Amino acid sequence: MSIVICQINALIKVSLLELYRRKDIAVVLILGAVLLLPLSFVSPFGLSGAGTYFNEIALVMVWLFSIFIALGVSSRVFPYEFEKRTIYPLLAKPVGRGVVIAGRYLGALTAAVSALCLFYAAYVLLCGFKQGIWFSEALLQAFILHIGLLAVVVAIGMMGSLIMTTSANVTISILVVFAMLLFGASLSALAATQNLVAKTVLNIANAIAPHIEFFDMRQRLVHEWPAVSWLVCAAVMGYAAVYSTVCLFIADFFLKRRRF
Amino acid sequence: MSVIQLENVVKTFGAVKAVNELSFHVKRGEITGFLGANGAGKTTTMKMLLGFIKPDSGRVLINEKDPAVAVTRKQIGYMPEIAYYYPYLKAYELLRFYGGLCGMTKKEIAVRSKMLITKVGLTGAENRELKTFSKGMLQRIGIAQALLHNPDVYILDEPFTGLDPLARIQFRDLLLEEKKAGKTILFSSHELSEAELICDNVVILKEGKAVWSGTTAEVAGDGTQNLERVFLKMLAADANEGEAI
Amino acid sequence: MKSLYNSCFDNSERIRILQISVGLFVIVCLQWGLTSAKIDLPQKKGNSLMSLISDDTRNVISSSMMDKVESYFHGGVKVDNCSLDDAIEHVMHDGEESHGEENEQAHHEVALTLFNPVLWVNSKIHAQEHHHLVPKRSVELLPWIVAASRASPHNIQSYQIGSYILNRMVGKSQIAIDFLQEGIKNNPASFELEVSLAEIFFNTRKDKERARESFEIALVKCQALGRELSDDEVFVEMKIYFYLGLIAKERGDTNRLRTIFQMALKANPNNTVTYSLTGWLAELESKK
Repeated sequence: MSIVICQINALIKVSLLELYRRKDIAVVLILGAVLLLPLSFVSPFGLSGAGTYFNEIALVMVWLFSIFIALGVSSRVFPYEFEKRTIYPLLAKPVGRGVVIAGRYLGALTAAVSALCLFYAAYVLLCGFKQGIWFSEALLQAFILHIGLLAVVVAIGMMGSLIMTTSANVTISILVVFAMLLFGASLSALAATQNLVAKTVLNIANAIAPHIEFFDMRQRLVHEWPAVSWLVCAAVMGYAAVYSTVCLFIADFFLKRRRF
Repeated sequence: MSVIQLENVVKTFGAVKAVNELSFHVKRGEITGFLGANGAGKTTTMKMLLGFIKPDSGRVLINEKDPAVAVTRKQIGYMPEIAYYYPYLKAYELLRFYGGLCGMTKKEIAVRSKMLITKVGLTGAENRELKTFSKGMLQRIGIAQALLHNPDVYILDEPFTGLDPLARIQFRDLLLEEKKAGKTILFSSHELSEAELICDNVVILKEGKAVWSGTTAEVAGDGTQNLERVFLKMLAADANEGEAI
Repeated sequence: MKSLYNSCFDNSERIRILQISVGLFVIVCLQWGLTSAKIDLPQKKGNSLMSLISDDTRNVISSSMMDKVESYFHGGVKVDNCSLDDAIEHVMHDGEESHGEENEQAHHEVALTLFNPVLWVNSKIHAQEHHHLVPKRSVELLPWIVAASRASPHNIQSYQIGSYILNRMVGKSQIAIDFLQEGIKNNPASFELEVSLAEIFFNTRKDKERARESFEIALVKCQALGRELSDDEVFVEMKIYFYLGLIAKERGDTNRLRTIFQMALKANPNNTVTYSLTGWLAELESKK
């Protein structure tokens, strides 16, 4: 057991080093700063006091950047290993393919979550200075659910990278993630209005597609709605854990079948 | 006792028989050269020895264990033909990563890394990112990672490729040193002179079959032959004729 | 400095840095364009395909900004049966913050979600009821109003609602007047904006002469349209008759009131405004 932990630890460290050495986060942070800093000084009609718009745009950016980082990190791990043949010395070590999947997944997730921590820190700083709100229970819940979201997105990206080409994987993953974010909550209602075939298709999509909208607490944060029950948060995190595990089992199946 | 065992191994990719009824053994403390033209099945055989792919039939054993089981590979040090490693890692970080995968402690990794970096001639470059390394330097770090966890068996795919003459001599000495320490070494190579210099045994592969195997002394025969001539003869001749030689 | 830069980044990274710098420069320029109030307005609609497409795109963006205003007003909740105009009226007149009917609907939806885990989670995570923004926080709507009017200077609604919020909720009538005048400059044919401006002069500034002037201009613009008006436009048109009638009544100008009454009668004989005008005319004539 300890050797497995040691191996996973090594894989996590490499993923983190990759993310920070490739300077992706620096680019995203600079981009975020360039977009947000001028916006923070906007005072429409010379009137001060408006901060909700800034809060919302900042959160949208945190969402976009974190999803792109998570998909970027997770979807290129295995294609890169195959393309550059680093998979050979890796698999030649006493490490099982299941452990490689788990380690690479946790590595990508840790990298994405570390980036998320930076984004939220920047968000809290900017919104704190602008609106004077530094902490709320809803903010904590939003952050925790965001980690759940990244767990699902990273698992989807990793699973896709073992099934299809990188470009197809990234495109499909982005489409699925954003489509579910926008329409996930309406799928049941939409299915109810359709004929039998469409209803079945939509119900299947509703059952198997990742419900990204579960993790979206932006509306509560931006418009200062009260926090949700922690039981609901636990249920959503449970969903993230189950969904990610299923994706990783599928990824493991494809990695084991893969011929090198 | 045979450390590496292949018995009647067959591997087919579609209509192509990459490895055909291949059998050979490598004993403990021996260096065996695995020779053959491009497409002879060397790399496929090595992949089976590392458990990357499973043979369609026959047995592949390392220390009498299946290399597809992760624990078995703790006894194997592998160096791939093309030395691509993570370019954003520093040399020392790469060794720490592979050490971690082998379950080594931080202290073990630090001691072995320091020793190996000196041995492969990368002193002073350990804190440089691999993307700044030359091909020869990458080959050296590849050697270091293969030796890192002090395995019993080394499987080296074209280890002399890209090395300058001095590095070749250093690496040759290193292999002989490891052999003295009781390590078993199997390497594939096109460098017949290198193979002749350090190998105890040679296996020549043609179209997935071993067309010749024996000691380097047998190659020399009555002194009129060398490995290069035997190799060319084997590749030119039919497999059955080869056995007759 | 140059050697430090060269030692820190390799060739490919330098190319990436250059690409990113160019990208950032473009973004900054776009952002400046969006947030700056110094855009040369009015922007005339061109005839080329590109200008038509860009104009439509700008209208769509502007409309979505106004949707944002509506959503902000309802606490981030999209509400179908509560328009922004009505909601603002509710808040200004009744101080009402939420609707009872929606609560019932929400309870009904909660009952449904018990059988569907996806609906259940969504009903818990996303707010189901809506509340109305309190007047003291109405300044939160203004960035989207500005963005909507900058995205498309022809979005009349952005000027109408923006000026209403500025005047009624924020209490800045001069800014509201300036904003409306900008809107009128960009949309010279719009009689609705003239009416909004006139209402501010009449109700807030109590400047009845300037209000009358604006209502008269609005009437001319309305009549100059030369087409059948929509229901919403007729509503605004009747406002013109109402205010002009009221001003004429207060000035004792029977002839003008009669003219206004006849125009109102022609536009909509069964409107309450027409009934009011009838009463005022009778009142003035009886005084004579």
